[in-house]
Amino acid sequence: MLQQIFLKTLDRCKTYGQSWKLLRKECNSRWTGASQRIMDDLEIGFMDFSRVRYSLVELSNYLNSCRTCEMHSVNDTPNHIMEDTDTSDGAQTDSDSEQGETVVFLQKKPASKSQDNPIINSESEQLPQVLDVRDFHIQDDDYFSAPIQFQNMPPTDRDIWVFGRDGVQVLPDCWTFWRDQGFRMHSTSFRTLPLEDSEINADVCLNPFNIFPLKDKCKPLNSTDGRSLVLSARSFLDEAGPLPGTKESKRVFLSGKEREKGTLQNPAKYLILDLEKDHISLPTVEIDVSVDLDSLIWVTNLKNFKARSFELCLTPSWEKNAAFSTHNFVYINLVFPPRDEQELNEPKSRLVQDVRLSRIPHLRLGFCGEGERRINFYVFFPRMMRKNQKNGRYATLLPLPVQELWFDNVVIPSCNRAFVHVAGFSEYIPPTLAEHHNRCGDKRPKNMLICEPTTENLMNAIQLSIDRNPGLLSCFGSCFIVADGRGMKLATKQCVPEGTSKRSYSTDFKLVQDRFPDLCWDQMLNRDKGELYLDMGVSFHSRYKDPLVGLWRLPSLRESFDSMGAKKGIVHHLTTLGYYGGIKAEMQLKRKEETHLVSRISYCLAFELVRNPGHAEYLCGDKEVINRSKRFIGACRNWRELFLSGSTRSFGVRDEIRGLAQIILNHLPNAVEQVSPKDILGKDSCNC
Amino acid sequence: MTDRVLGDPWFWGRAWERLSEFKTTSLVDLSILDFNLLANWLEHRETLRSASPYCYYIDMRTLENIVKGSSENFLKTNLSLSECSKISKKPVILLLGSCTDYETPILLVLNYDEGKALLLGTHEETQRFDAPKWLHDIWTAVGHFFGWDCSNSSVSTIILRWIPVRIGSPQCNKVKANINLRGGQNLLKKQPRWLIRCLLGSGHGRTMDGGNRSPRIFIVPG
Repeated sequence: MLQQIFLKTLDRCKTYGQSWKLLRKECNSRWTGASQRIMDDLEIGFMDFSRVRYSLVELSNYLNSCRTCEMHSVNDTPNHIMEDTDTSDGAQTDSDSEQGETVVFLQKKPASKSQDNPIINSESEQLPQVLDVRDFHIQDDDYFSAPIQFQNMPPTDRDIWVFGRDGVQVLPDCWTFWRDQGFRMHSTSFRTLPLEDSEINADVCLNPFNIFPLKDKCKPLNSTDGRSLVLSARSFLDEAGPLPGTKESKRVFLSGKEREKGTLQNPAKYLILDLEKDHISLPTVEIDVSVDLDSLIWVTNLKNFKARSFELCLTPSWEKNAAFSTHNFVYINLVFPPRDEQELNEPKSRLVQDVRLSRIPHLRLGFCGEGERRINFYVFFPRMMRKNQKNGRYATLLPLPVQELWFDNVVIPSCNRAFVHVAGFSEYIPPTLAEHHNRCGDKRPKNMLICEPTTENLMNAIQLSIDRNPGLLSCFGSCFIVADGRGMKLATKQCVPEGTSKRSYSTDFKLVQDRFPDLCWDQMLNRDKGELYLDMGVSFHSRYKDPLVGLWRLPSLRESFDSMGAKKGIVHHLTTLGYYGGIKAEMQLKRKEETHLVSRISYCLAFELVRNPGHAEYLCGDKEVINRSKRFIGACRNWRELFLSGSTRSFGVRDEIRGLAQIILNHLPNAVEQVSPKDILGKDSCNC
Repeated sequence: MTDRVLGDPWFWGRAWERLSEFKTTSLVDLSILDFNLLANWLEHRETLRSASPYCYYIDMRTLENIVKGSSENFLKTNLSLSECSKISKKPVILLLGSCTDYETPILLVLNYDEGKALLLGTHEETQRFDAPKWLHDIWTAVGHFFGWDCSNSSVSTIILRWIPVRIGSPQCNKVKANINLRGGQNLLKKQPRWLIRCLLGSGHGRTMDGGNRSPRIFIVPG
């Protein structure tokens, strides 16, 4: 009702304001005068005031929070919830769909209810684990405001008047979907692995390059049928000849046949590349091993977030893609929306499930450091988690109006509140987003340095802002923070104590802590405060007199992944080579719980030659290729030069293992010894 | 005609100003309700053309002038009333602010045919009683304004209280359209649905003030 009154009034104010403009000369004697402020507002346009938009959003939220209206049937709820959140992988996730996400009840559920949902049943059989309700406290989150409904349907005219008299949509579409869907957190949502210390077999976990030199499995097929000629890469190049563009080289590389034309009696043979013929067994002493920390992911809630200092973002970002657009193997344990009034009134009876971070809408909160030492802080909004109905993918990139609401009504007011008792700040912090834009004249980004102990005040203020205005800001409730450091290897590789061998070394964690002074490491390492994941990277480099390119044999790698308890994962072939490349895989749940390792990625460092992080397309776009545009020709030339220069350098192989910080740090000091090929193979050569 | 009445900043300007203070947690401002009810009535009146309306709505400013005894012609013009011809007796709907004995706004339905007044929006229990003096004054002034003789008629009053219904509360679905207004159904059932839609439930769920058997009334614009 209220939103109808508001919208109708707004619409009529606009309509009759225009009538006043037209008739004021004629009716001036009978009408009361309009104040200058009202005339100004009319000129600007009533809908252009953010307070009007926010009132509309608030009213819309109130309407949507209605749990049991006769127009909102509750009977269709449970299956929708589960189907929309548990099953298929969105495009923003990788294609590994094996993940059996844990569905458990906070309390044991009556059988009749769980049987209603086939997904719950199947998951429960896999994982009959029940979350310890001792961790669950009713005050952990606002459980009773969760809507029973899970509706992604656009509102009908019964629900909200979407269009004004002029046919223009009053409220942007996004507000129909970006609202509280009913997901909630509990006190240990960030913990998805057991708290107990893992019993880990170090050899298996840290020696992926181990005992499986499956050289024979890399033999090309059809190599003995008489019609084919198996060549090494070196011989292949020799067969093509030294000059580019000749008929012979085209026959070799394009037709895949011998350089000489054959005859009817003696036809030219097809060429088969066998890289094993190029294989060189290196003595152990000629292999260097470097162990580093490549990335960190810290998941925590607002209350426990700490950083010595960081730059707080005060304005929206203009990103094309969400920061976590692919699955990073990190989960958060969420309380699902109530499926009926009983679950609404008894939050302990609701479902909980591990949900991928990459499925939850998020936004950058701030950052610290630059370059390889840059750590981004993201705030995640699980309440708004939903699938896009059109493409079936999880929508995680917040649209601009929602971002503006966050910064205008949460971040900026909280920032002001955090410094309210400190003289000398108020002049520098904009009171609203609009004021900042007005001052700059454009929408340039603005950050603000936040140092301890203001961080804690700021987080409290953010929580307070959301709690005080549930009608407007409930969609931001239950938010949590993720610190994300990527590509730190060049920084951590230099964290090596003096006197250590520069050939084979392992990063010293204490030095890493010093290298990243903005982070509160004690807080991050405390599992009661959050969950810290680290990536340990192990690289193997050749010290051979000639340049060499290291390749992972995929059959060997596969065996290694399997023995480690990894899932099938994704295979990334190196160019079009069938037996060489890399694998990226998550650990199986049971293995994950035993070892606290969550994923592993193995790849060839030759990829670094063309790697361009952050760019979706390599070389150029498909359209450029089809049109043979100048850009495409130029990009090909650039790559050819890269490959030519690369032929004088060596490239190794690399393995990255992601796990909880405690287990990674346990192994870090001795990692070089543990992964040494000599120790593994018991002989003096590396065969991977 | 509607433009000439509602184009007055007294209506849309005040409504716009109050809109910026619009809150879900407080009562809707009277200026907003008055603006919408008048707009509803005038827009409906336009669609009826020459046909007789089911009822009349008198906005708060016009009512104030009527009670003061002002007889300016534009008051009738504002209500699309003929200057000369006799006006047939129809229920009159009014919105009252602070001129009553009650703190809350009142929606008043005056039925001159039956000599009854329905008073919606008090904190008192549903009851019947003789009209107080202020109501008599309004009854008489409005009757005279329309040209109806009502000086000797007694007014039977039915009082119903407002029940604020929290948006999103569990009882929101319990609202039913069946009219179950004890003693008041005859007054309301002939009212046009476009103006007042009385959605009255009987004893479903809880209410904010602890009652559980009170009718709920919503005013719906348009």
